[in-house]
Amino acid sequence: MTQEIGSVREIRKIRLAIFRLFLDLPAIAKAAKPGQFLHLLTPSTAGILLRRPFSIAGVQGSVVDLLIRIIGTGTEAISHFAVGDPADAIGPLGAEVERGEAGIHLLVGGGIGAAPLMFMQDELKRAGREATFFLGAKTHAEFPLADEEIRARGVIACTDDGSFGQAGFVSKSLEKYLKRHAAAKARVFSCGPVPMMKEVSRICAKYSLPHQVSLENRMGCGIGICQGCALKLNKSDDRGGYRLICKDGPVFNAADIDWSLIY
Amino acid sequence: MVDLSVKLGPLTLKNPVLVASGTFGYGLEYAELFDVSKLGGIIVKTITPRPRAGNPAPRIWEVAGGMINSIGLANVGVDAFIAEKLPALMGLGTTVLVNIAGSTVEEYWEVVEKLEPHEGFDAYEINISCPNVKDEGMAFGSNCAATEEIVKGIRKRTKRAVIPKLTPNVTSIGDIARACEAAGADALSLINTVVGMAVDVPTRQPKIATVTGGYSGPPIKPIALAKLHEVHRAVKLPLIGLGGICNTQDALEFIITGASAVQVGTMNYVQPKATLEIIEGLREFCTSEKLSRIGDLVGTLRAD
Repeated sequence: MTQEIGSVREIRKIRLAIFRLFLDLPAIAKAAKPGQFLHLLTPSTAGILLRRPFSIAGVQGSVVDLLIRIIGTGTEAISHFAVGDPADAIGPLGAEVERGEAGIHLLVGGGIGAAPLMFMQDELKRAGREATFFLGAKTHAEFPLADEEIRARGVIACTDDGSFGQAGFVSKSLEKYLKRHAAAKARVFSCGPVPMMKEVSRICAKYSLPHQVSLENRMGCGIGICQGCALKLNKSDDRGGYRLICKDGPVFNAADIDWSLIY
Repeated sequence: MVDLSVKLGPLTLKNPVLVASGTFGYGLEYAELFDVSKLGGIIVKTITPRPRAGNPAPRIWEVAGGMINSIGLANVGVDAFIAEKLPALMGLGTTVLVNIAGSTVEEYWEVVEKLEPHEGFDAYEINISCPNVKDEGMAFGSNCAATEEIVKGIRKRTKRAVIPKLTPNVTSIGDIARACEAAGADALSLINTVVGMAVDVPTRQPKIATVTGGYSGPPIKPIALAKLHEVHRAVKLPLIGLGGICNTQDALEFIITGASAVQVGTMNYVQPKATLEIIEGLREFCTSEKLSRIGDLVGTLRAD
């Protein structure tokens, strides 16, 4: 973990409210592992105080790649970054993800939840491991990746309205795939809307597949101090079942999640 | 050469800039980001007699310029603190102040009794002002008799500095401050967070699980300064000011109003090194104002 003041290398609009932000942050880029995030200072013009946590969507050399959807004042202000602007980030944050030994990896994303899965796909590819990436969005216009990247990554795309790729939820595509393949050794990672991750959990339990989910939450510090991002697991222990999404996560075993407590 | 050291009763700090309880953990995380030995002191997260898991989520919500939190004094408990955290804190090279709380008057004393035999810290900050725990914390700090009883009992049990932390959520903070002074406190910290609330309109639910929480950040600075001014006139004790301090200018306003030292809280989350900038800023201010000691600036407010 380090605090680094780098600069904006590139900002690229993908579609509607979605953009890619490439930040030159050599120390963070060097240390980052899939599943981790950084905590980015919001421009002072936004009139808000706290940093914003973003999953690291990839690393190329000294550059950290973020995939961001504008959902409020903070992300709106960040979307107005210009090339060369200073970028103040603390990272990489969060625990390293347990990826397991053998078998194939199934990456299941919904909307902006694609971000950590992209980095995971890159790393698996570099290691010569097999990964299949399912990604869903409501419509083509809200798809988090540009068409050329969808093709380059070999993404199995789904949209709720059928305007692009397979019609229906991404969980449906996953289940179709599992029915076709006797995927005894598959390991599943998901990130996206809560109902999606919950449904993927149900499917994984049915097929007895290990499943990890990447969660998000409002964060104060991002490094385990303020305890604002606490999550209660479905088991009790000497910590009252509480874990911090910023420090103990953001990736958790889906089997430990009490979905009624996720908001 | 400017003398930045300050005295708070029996406690001497190398400079007047502290980090507020709950915003710096047990000191170790931020030690990865900067040289924490430069701080005037570290006030550790509130320690209670037994571990506390904390309040249900959601626990924080960002509001105009600041945030509301309701963590519920989640902490490892005094035994684990002594065994695991205190030894590491001793190696950080700065003064350690232990913030404590209890659910009963006796529990405050119990924490002190357990900590007393151990080395590695120089003061107790007494949390009688947490707005986020039921039937305790703030309830004590808004009652003069309970405040006096807690502080008197702690005073009897230690020679270390005793520093009650006051809540602004009272009718007369001056009365509470006088109760602390009568009970033998060495200094006072003020203010803790301001009780606040936010509502999610689509679901008509509160943004925080416990409905209300503690509002902190730059917007509470004017409230903190007004309370500091009131307490400065009410007692002779040295005061530690906090509430929305982000930069040197903020710290100077508190010192001029009567604070011998200041604490940085929420800003630690945003700019972990803000404290170091403030220490340097105070040094530069004293140099340019030809002040040989920061102490000469304390309480120099010109108000008739």
